[in-house]
Formats: sequence, structure tokens, C-alpha cells
Amino acid sequence: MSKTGDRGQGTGDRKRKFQKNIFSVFCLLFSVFCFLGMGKPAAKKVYVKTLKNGHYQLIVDGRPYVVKGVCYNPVPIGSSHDYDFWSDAGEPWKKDGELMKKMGVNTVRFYNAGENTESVKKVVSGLYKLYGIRSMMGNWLGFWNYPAPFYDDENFRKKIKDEVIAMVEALKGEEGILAWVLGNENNYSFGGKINPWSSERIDKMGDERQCMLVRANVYYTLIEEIAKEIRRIDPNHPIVMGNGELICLDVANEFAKSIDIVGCVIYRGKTFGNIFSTLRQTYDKPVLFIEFGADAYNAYEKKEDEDAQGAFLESQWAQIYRNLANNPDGAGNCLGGTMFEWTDEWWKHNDYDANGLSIHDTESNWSNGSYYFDIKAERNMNMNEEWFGIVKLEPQKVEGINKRVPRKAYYMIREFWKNPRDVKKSARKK
Amino acid sequence: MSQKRRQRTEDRGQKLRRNIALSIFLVLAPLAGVSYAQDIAKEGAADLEKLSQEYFAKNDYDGFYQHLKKISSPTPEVYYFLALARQKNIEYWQQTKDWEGVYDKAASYKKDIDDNLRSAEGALKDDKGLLLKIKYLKWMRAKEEGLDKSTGLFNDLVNTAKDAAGQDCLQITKDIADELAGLEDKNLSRRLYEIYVNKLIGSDISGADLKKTAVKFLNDNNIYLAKALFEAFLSKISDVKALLARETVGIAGLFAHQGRTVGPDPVFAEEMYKKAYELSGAAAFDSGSQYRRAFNLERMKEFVRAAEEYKNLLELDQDYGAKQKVLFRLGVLTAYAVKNVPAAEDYFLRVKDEFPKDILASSSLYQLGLLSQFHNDPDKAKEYYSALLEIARSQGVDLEKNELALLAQERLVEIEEKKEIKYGLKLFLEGTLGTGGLQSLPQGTHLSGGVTVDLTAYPCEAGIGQPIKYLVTMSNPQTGCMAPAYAYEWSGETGGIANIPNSPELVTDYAAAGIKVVHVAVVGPQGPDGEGFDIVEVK
Repeated sequence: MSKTGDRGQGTGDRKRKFQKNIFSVFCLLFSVFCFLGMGKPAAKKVYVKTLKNGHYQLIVDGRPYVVKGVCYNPVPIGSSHDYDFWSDAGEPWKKDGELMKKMGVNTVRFYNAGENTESVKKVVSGLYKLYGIRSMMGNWLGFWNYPAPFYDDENFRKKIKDEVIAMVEALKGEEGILAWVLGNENNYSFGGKINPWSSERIDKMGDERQCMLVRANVYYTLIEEIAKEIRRIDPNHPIVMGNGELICLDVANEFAKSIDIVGCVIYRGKTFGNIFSTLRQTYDKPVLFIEFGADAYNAYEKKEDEDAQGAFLESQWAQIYRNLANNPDGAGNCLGGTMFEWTDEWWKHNDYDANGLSIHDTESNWSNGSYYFDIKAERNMNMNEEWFGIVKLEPQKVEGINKRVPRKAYYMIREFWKNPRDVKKSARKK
Repeated sequence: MSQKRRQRTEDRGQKLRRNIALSIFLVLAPLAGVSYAQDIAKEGAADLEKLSQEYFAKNDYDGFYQHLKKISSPTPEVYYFLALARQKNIEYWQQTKDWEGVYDKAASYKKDIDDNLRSAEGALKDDKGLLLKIKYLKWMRAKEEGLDKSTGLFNDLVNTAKDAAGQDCLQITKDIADELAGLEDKNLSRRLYEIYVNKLIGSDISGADLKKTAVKFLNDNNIYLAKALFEAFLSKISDVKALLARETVGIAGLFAHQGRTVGPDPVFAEEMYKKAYELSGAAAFDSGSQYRRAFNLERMKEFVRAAEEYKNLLELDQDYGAKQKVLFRLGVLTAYAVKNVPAAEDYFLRVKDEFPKDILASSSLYQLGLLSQFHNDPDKAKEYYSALLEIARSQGVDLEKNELALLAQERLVEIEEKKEIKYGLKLFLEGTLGTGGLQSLPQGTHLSGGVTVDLTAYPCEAGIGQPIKYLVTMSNPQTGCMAPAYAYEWSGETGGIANIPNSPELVTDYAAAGIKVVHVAVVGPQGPDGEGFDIVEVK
């Protein structure tokens, strides 16, 4: 063999060897990048889409998502509002998650995150990974501050903002987070009758209606400030503004434009009335019912009434479905709801009475004529706060937590979600 | 024959005998079964009905179902009861809240019901009564499933009821209507009750019997049916106006407030009273029925109209036996509802002048004193309170214990020491009458927070020492599930209760007879929100 031929062969070998090395290095680098990238998966994007027909749809992981949810605050029998759910060693969310999954629940609403962020993350992550349930995480915005929520005080506003932003920063990376919820029924304080708050400039108004409007302005500008900040640090989750009924949403329309979804707290009985079309006119944002439902106690007949609760909830869900996107019979602006609530809360009637925490109180806290099945109760007081659960609790403990017994509503809604249909005028027994 | 052959023959014989016995058994057993099944079938519809009741009383729905399944030639009744057994089983699960039963186990039962009802209807010949029951069950199934066809099925049931003749069908129609009356949608029962009523009328039943039947239904608390039959009775006697008017008034009295008990339907009562007046004017009423009408309106919180009718009573019968009570009620309603203080004072003065020895004279003096005191006429007020105490002394009343006397003394101290009227009383009077001088205010004027406050006593008539509960009901402002924190300022004749609670409920009793006036003022976080009053009679 000639030396030239040998040399040609050697060059070819070296070239091939070089290409092989480059390829190996490339593979190695690629693996390293992938490995680093897999350490924490990117948070999936959740957003509201406006369809061509003007309807609204919640998109999660690229697909339409109807919020089929529950308000989740499973205070055990004997405990009060200060119960730390997040750190409960009994991990009630596991038992509840199982039951919720069987029912078809895909979302839970938490009113406020716990102080221990790691505990919160564990629950949010666990609910999502084990049961496919996403979490709407809320903040009270200082509504229960003692002696009052001083929304017109700069220091107070800053404190609230910092708290919310810290929560978002801590949890925004969690896969299970669906949305942020700002406040609940805080707007009921504008009239000065609930958690009354004021300031010098408000007091100077004199006229009650003017005071109310100024309070609304003060509050919704705070919402706007918080929402803008959240958007800046977390563009991946929508912002829901809690509101009792539609009160003062005309003011919100002017001052709280940065929120994505209006989260209405509605107790109008079997249906939501004309709320869908009204919102289109006054505050045209997609609506999510962050609280709605019916109690399971008949204050007139003084006995449990699962039939009434089930019938009311089923009717409410039928109307929600009628107003989802792409239903020609509805307004197309509803994204679903989180019904009030998962379990009964035995502390609610009077949380200052330690003895009452272990009693399933049947005294009513408020009156609502739309819940006509027991409006003839004494003094028309028919709404029983401790009886709103679609799952009841029993004092007997199973695996360290109060036994859960699903009510009729649990099954009715389970069946409804499997086969959503228009609910005819109920012929249920009284 | 060899032993072996003998053995074989014996064996064959035994085998033959065994086979014959077996054959006989196989032939006879089914015949026995058929005979037994035929015996069951022969039981008839009435027996099945009775049997079903026995099984259902024990909640043994499956037991009854299995019993019926043994029948080899089921009749339409049997198919119907098979379906009914399954339906009752599902209802039993509902009652016992066995939701897994209702939602998970019941699927096969539901199919069973549908199949058996289809068979029942297919095999049915002429039995309209059974047809009604089948159609009712069919509709119930469809309604429970929320099927669109349930509306059509109900119309079918109604049409069948219309066409069905005979007393038994009439009774079945009523029984079904009675069951439907327990449902939320009242139109369902009403449609069948109408058929029942029309058939009853069409059966040439006499007016008197119609009325008797109506009264029976009223006593059974079937208010809807009672009203329908009373109206049918009235249309039978509609030719004679005067009689019609009197009967209408009489019927109204059956539904009106009765004093110690709430009437079955006070609103219907007033409708009847109105009708009677349209027919014959005041002539339709005697003093008793006129008083009942006014009292009914008062208990309905239609205070202004009640005052008018009390006035009409006094025009109708100037010597009315309990005139002082009527005058006193007129005074209270005119002051606090009509808001015509001068007119109210006239009524109170009439009681004082015309009935000086009556307990209501003292009550009137107290009211006169209050109105004068509130309207900044302390001298007049002092005069009235002092007169009250004078009467009390002359009657030997213990001034340290008698409530009216104590209240009068309290007011006198306020006047003498130039103090403001007691806070709760002041809030009530200001909220009701305003802060100006003597004047009449437009009816319905709401001077405080704009919340409607109703104060109602239960009962509104009681004996001495018997408990009376006063309840405050309010139209709440829109605050969702969070009720504002209210303070309840009670005033007036609150009876023997030692400590007046700051709550919307007050339970008390009275040591002396008379007509008592109790007030409440409700104060919210922003100030007075509303006020109310009620009148009770202690006998």
C-alpha cells in the first residue's frame, strides 16, 4: 500500500473521530441542559380567552377548563376559625381529595394561605398530583383586621399589598395553582354596617351614599394596585376579585380594570337571576361564582333537609352551565364556580362560645327569602351557617379526622357533572 | 334363578320405582307451584293492595317484589305492584339517606320499574283506576330523572283523571293530588284538585254537603282544597245576593286570625271580606264579623286599613259591646301607623271620658301622657300621668307593682327632673313620629334607617301569667351572610320580664289584664335603623 493512500485513510479516520467527539460533546451538553431544566417544570399557563363570539373561556394547559369547585375550609368539630388546616398532621386534604376526585371536583378555593409556606405548597402540590385538583388561593385583604380594615390608611394598604405579593411570589411556581383571589365580600363594608371602617375624609362626606362611593373608590384602587403588581411578577395565573353580589361594581369598572375575573359571592336561591346579562352591561368581565349554594337545614321544620340543598345546588349548576362559553342560550361569560362549601363548619354560629364548637348549632345567622323552603322560620331567620357542607362531619374519627358523610347534594352534582342538563322546575318533596 | 340374577332384578325394580317416584314428583311439583301462583293471582287487586301495605310497613320491599315474582301469569295489577315495590324501595333509600342506594344501586331498579309499568299498561283493559296509578308512577319516574317527557306524562295523567269516571277514580285522583301537594310545584296538585272539585260539583252534591266537605278539608289542613270547595259552594248560591254576602263573610271568618291562633289564610279571609262588601256593602257585616275583619287586618300588619275598619265598626254599631277596646286600638294605630297624633288623642280621650272605670282609661291616659311629653308639652303630660296614678290609687292598685303605674311614675320623674325621655322610647317615638311638634305625618313615612321592622307577638291574646313572645323581623340590607350588629331597644309595656334583653326576641308575661302596647327600636352601626310596635290583649 502506498504511503499516500495510508495518509488519506488516516485523515478520514481523524475526521470521523472528530465528528464523533463533537457529537458526543453535543449529546452530553444537551443532557445537562435537559437535566437542569427538568429540576422544576415550568408553571403551566392559565388565562382567560375571549372567543370570536365574545364569550369567555378559561384555558388551562391549552384546553378549555370549567371550574367545578368547592370552597374548602374543613375545620374539625371542636375547632374554631384559627384552626391551622395546612399543618394538620391528620392531612384531611388526602381523604377529602379522594372524595372530591370521585365526585368530579377539579378545583378548590382557599380563602387564605397559611403562614407556613412549605405546608401550603405541600397541600397544593398534593391535591394536584394525587387527585388532579387545582387550587384557587385567596387573601382576605385584611377584612378581619381588628378593630377595622383601614383601607384608606397608606400603611395598612402597604401591609396588605406586601402580604399578597409575598404569597404570590412563594406559590406562583406551584403547578396546582389555578388563580389568585383577592378578597371575598369586602364590599359589604362600604355601607358602614359590616366591619365598618372610615377615615377623616370619608367622615367629612356626611351623606351616606357619598361615604359608600368613596369607600368603594378607596377599596377598588387598592385592588387595582395589587392586581398590577401581581401581573408584573406572575403573568401565568389570572386574578379574581371577590365581590358580594354586584354592589359597587360600577365603581370597580372604573378603578379595578386590571383584574381578570370577577368572583361573585351570590345567594339568590335556586338561580342567579339576571346576573349574567347585568354583568355584561356593568362590568364586562368573565364571572366565576366563588361562593354560592344552599344550607342543608330547614329552619322552619327544624330538621336536616338534604333534598332542598341538592335541588338548589343542581339548579344553580344548571344555570352556570347554561352560561358557559358557546352555549347559544346563555351570556357566555361564566367560567364555573366553587360552591360553598365542602364540609359543614361547626364553629360558625358563634366562635366566641367554646362549648358551641362541638355542637352542630341549628340557630340561624341570617335571613334570605330566596331560600323559600324555610323562610317561614321564626323571624324569617332561615340561613344556617353551620350546615352548608355538601359533606357532613361526624364526631367519630376515622384515620384521625372527623368521619365524612357525603350528603345527597354530593351525589346529585356528581351525576349532573357527568351529564349536564337543564334542570326542570323541581318537583322535589318539601 | 341364581342369586346374582335375583339381585339384578331387585336392583332394576328399585331403580324403576325410584324413577316412577321421581317422575311423579317432577310432574306434580310444577302443578303445585302453578296452583300456588294462581292462588296468589286470585288474591285480586284489593288483596295485593293489602299485602303491599303489610310488606311496606316492614320496609320489606324486596320481599314483596320476590313474592310477586313467583306469579307465573302476572295480571296488570301484579306488574303495577312489582314496579311500585321497586319505587318504594328507592324512596325508602331516599328517606334513610342511603344515597349510594339511590344513586348507585338503583339503576337496575329503575329499569325494572319502567319494564313492569310498560307490561302493566300493555295488559290493561278497562281499569281506569289502575291506569291512573300506572300513569302517576310513570310520571314520577320521569320527573325524578329530570326527563323532558315528564311534562307530557303529567298532562297524560291529568287527561286520564278527567276521563275516568266512578267514585274510586275520584278518590284515586284526590289521593294523588294529596301526595303532589307535598311537592314544591303546587300547580301539579292544583290541576288534579280542580278535576276533583269539578267532578264533585258535577255529581249533583248539594250546597250544604259541599260546604260540609269544605269545612272537613279545612279541619284536615288541606287549605287549597277547602278554598276551592268553598268557592264552588258560593257559586252554587250566587243567585241570592244577600245570602251570598253573608255566607262569604262567614267563610272569611274561618280563615281569618282568631286571636290566640293565626288563621289558616288571613289574606284569603280579607279577599272574602272584600268580595262580601262589594256584594252588599256594610249590610253584609254584623258587628262581630266587622270586628273580625278589622282585627284580621291588624294582625296582617295592615294597620292603616285596620284603623279604617275599626272606624267602620263604630259607625255600624255605636253601642258595640267592647267599644273601649276598639277606641283604644284606634288610638294606638292612629298614633303610630296613621301618624295622626291629634286624631289619636281624640280616641284616647273618648276612652277616658266614656269608660272612666275601665282599665283602658288608664292605658289611654298613659298614651296621652306619652304623646304630650314627646311633643314638649310637659304640663299636659304631667296632668295625664297624675290622673292615671290617681285612678290607680282609688282602685287600690299597688303603685309599686302595677306596670302602668310604674311607667307613669318613671315619666313623671323625667318631667320633674327635666330629663330626656327614656332612650329606647325616645328612639321609637322619634322614628315613628319625627322630631317636630304636633303634626300628622304622611302615612308610611320612614324617618330612620329605612329598614322595615316588624314586631309581632305570639300569641297576641293570652291569659294573666301566660307567656307571650315578641319577635322582631327585619328587612335586612344587602350584606350577604354577614348580619350587621344591631341593638334592640325595647320600650312600652314589656310586662314582668326582669331584664330586658338586647335581642330580637323578648319573652314576658303580664300580671294584669288589659291591652298592652310594646315598642322596639333597632339601632345599627350607623344609628337608628327602624322601629315597630304591637298590641296584645291580656284577659
